[in-house]
Amino acid sequence: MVICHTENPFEAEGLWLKGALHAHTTESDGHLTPTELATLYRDRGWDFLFLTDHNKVTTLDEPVEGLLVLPGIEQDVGNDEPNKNWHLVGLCADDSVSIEGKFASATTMVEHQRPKVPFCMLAHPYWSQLSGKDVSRFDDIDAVEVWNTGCELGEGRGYAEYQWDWALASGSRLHGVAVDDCHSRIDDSGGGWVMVKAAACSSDAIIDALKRGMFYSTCGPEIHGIRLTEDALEVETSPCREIGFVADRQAGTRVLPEEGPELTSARYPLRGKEGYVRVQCTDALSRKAWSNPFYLQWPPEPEDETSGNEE
Amino acid sequence: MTKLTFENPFGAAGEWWRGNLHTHTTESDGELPPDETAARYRELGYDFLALTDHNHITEVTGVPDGLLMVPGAEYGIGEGDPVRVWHVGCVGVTPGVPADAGSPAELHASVREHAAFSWVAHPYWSNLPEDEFAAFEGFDTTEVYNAVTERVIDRGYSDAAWDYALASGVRINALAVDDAHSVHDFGRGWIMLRAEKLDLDAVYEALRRGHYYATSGPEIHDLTIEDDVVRVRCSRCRTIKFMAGNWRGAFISAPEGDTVTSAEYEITGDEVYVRVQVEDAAGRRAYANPIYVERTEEGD
Repeated sequence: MVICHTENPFEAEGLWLKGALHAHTTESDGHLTPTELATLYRDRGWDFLFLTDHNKVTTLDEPVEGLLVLPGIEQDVGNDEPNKNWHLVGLCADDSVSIEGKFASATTMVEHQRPKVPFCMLAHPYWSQLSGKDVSRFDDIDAVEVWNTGCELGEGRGYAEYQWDWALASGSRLHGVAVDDCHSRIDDSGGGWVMVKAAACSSDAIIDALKRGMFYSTCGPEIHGIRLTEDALEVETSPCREIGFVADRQAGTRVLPEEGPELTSARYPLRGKEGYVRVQCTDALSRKAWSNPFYLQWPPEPEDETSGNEE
Repeated sequence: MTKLTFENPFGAAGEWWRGNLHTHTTESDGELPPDETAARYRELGYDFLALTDHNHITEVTGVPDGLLMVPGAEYGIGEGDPVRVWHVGCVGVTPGVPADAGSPAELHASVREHAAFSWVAHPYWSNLPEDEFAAFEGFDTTEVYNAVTERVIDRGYSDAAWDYALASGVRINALAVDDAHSVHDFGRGWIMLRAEKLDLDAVYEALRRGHYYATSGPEIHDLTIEDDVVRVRCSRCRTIKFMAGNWRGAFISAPEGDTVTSAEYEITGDEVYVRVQVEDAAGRRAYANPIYVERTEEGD
């Protein structure tokens, strides 16, 4: 019998809301004004947008109809660790979180920002040259960016599955978010987003859903449903080239279409040793989507069990 | 002034040879016996093949014409660690490596003593921490693509661990391998090795010098450096990346539905390294080994 410590957004009541969690404007180094950027996301079909300028809480002068625009901030560290460049995004921030200059260390940054925002996430680990250990260093962060559009288009460092999985395997409980981190020098708005299952399109409901992991992240594919049974994890998606179930302890699987180029569902019979399993799928355009991890707990293994999986 | 260090296999004398360095047979947990494995690889057009059974140097009789068999093995430690395991592949190996060394350092030292060439296997599958992987500098080669771990648990690509090591200043090349356990894995990940002739010494020499590129499908046709501009030509791809470290690098992508077959990147001197990575429409990738970039005192 498996015990699961995850709420399932696909089995909850509420609205699916499409949101951007990381965006820059002319208030820092972005090239569109807050109103221009909000209008762009509204016109592209987004429901909400967090403005997360560098070390500054940006607000809109006038509301943009049809889009909930919310305040956030992105903060960073000086040259404490020369090979790394820590950035931390806080959502629903207010002016009290801003500081002069940069933080002396990742620790001082997290200690400062964490109590001041309801949701904080570690930005672009691949770009920041952070390891899985770095990602798992702070156990009170809510999420890590598993996809960052700007970092992929800029330096080819958009993904962070390796780092996320290392942190998860070593015991961290981090949601994975897909974000744009748009700066609008090129069209970098709309490459990655979250689909949040929230009780309402309001700041409180969105934050509540984000904190509980009631969302999935995507660059295009849709996840239509995930069901955890006693012995399997099942998923339904929009047409995809492959569906992966990624886990720790050398468990997990990858499912390809039985016939034709695409599949829309997959089932993973649990092996009975996973500490977590997350779903990811890839469409014909190589765009990915990611569920949050399902954290599993198992009865103690019998003494004589052998793993039998040696690659 | 910028100093570039690169063993460039493109344009070097010789020919391209296709090989897989990581293969299991019925001598450990593979499905097919050694001779049938060799025959299948020859049918797929391979020029060389290493059988790398677990803790065992497999010998093969009845090798098909045209296929060079490279003696190899895979050794591991880490049973009991819930997070990470270490597996090391090696070729040109002679008996004497312990089946379960006590630590990565001991394993490494022993493999170094007994093998002509060795590398870190499937970091993502093994859940290796990037900093231990990077700090463990004795290994100068890693797998960046491992076909069976991609097929079985969706953890075949280790780009992030490789880049973490490179960005930290570690000099390390990368292989694509099948790690074949069944016919489903044959022909999924391989290296194209540049050597003047196909014999064991030439293969070991080319491996040590990094005279190869790794691929799960795409071809890299040419890579040149002229006046600090890196140019690459490849088979039809969806994206070309210049991975660089130190917040440099570039990403080139074809318009949706189209392909790209060449790109260039001007080295600024601020990079730690520059490596070329291309990806086709099916998501298959090819990786050139890194060009190392240093700023020299003079001219600053």
